[in-house]
Amino acid sequence: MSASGAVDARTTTAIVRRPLPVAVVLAVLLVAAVLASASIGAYSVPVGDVVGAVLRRMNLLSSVAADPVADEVIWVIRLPRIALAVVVGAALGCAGAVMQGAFGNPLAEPGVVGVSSGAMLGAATQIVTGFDPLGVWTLPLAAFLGGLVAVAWVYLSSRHEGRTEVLTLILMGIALNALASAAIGFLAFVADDASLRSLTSWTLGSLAQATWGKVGVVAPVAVLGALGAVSLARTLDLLSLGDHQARHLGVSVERARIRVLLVVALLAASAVAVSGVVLFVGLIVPHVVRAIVGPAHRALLPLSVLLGAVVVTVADTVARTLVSPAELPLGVVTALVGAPVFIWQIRRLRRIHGAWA
Amino acid sequence: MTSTGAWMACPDMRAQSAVLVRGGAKVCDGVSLELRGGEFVALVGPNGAGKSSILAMLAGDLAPASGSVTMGGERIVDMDARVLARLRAVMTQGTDVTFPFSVRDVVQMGRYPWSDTPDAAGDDAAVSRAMSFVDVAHLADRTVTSLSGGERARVALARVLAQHTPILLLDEPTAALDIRHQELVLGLLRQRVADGCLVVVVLHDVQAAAAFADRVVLVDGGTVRAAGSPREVLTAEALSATYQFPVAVDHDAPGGASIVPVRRGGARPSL
Repeated sequence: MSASGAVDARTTTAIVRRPLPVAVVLAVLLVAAVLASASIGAYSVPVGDVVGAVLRRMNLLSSVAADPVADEVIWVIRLPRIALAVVVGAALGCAGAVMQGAFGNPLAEPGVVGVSSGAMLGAATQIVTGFDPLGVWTLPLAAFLGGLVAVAWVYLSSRHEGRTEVLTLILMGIALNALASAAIGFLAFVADDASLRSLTSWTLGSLAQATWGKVGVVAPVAVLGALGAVSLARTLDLLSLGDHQARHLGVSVERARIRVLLVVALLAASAVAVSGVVLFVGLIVPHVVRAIVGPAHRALLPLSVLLGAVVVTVADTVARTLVSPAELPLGVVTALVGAPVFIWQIRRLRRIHGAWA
Repeated sequence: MTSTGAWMACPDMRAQSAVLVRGGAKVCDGVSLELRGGEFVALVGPNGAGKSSILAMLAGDLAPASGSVTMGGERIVDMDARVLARLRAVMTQGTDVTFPFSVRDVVQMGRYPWSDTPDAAGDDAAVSRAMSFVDVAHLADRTVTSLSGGERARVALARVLAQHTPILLLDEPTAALDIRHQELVLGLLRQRVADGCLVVVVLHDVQAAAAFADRVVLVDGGTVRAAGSPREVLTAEALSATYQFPVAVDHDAPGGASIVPVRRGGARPSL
């Protein structure tokens, strides 16, 4: 409770770095990552030809492609996949930032606490039952409903007197992840061959079989979620203090909570619907952004969108090139980087708050 | 009604036979209080007496199981959060902040109830003034997570002041403060009372209550044992009975009321 004598100035002085230059840097990084990713692969295409292929498709360049195969590879195979990586990363980064704010806890993220599993179970149920009243929108809707139930359950069960009980939060996540994977295992058992294939390509998270059609379905869902998140920025600052303090400052906590849960479910659904469960992106990304520009959500949310997009674009490029011609699941790559960060976070929190049990 | 001058009119507050149940136990039993602007009210009493619970009911955090707690005639738990936040500010014990917000960010949060109103134009001025009032202006760019307990308490107070409400409900605002800052803060609250505000403070320091409060409410066993001027309420008999420890009281001591535990044979055992 008392001040210790000498304190490291770097940790005590609030970060006053302006968010705008950081946003510019991240945007440049994103463009670079996209171009690099489009250029790298089994069929290598120089970056100049990547730009040329895009411009030709948009009728901004009339010259004939020197290598028509390269144009096809770029436009039909690589770019849709990269677009999905951008959407998934943006959605997960943003979802993590929203959840950490709403839970007032830096360990909350869609994968760890089971929201992605819930969304996945919803989507898996749809795939296996084949129940399809809304065409391409059925799958994201099923993922959304699954994610909503999961996040509402985790939220309501891990809160006590307006604050998050960390241990309950993590244990609920374990329980939900176990429950969802058991249910998905059961679904896989009863599934026919075709649905089993799409189910398994998912379980570890993969962006293979990307199409522009999928991009068209999940991108609007993610954009809706991200806009909802940004509109909640100032409220999230206050919610991170705990329910009582937020209410003292004029936040209608019940209403804000419902909006938060909807936003998280939208974001998680847009990611899970195409990539399955991708762990830890929602954990690392907001954490890094907070270390650069501080915890205020007005900057944290948009920058988490950008950094999330960069991270998953790079991770997916690694996933599909590292063991080429085979492919690593995207979830494996993010977990390899993310799990150590998660462990480090737990140790840091433990140092601050003491052991939990 | 501007952020630089007067406050919104101070509504009366009233608790009528309020009963509060937490975890199956009655923590408040039949609390009745009438509070109005221009009053400095101190809630005093032993640990676990129910002071914080009474404050939580007045703040609208906890709803009474029976009886009522109202502000301007309206039940507080039914009031719109935003409207309520323009009328009363609350400082609770244990104002932990998980994320490393800067001190300025935290004080700025006190302006949230005024966003989208004409008063939002005065946000920066209100934040700077609140920070200098409680002597944290020099900490503006520090992270709250790096501050000492006393500094954090002053930041929480600055946030409460920046909220610019006619009613202030404070749970032990001075518990972690040194003598200078305790006097600074209590003097500041006195000033607010002179301007027509209602200040309700939970205080463990009975001498401070005697020196600053217009009205002292002695709480014990979840109910109000006595309420009135410090001289009426803070008697040796009443305090000794409530705290179950002999207390000597001299309201006319030089330099203000002296209320001290009677330490027989000296405080330090002589060897």
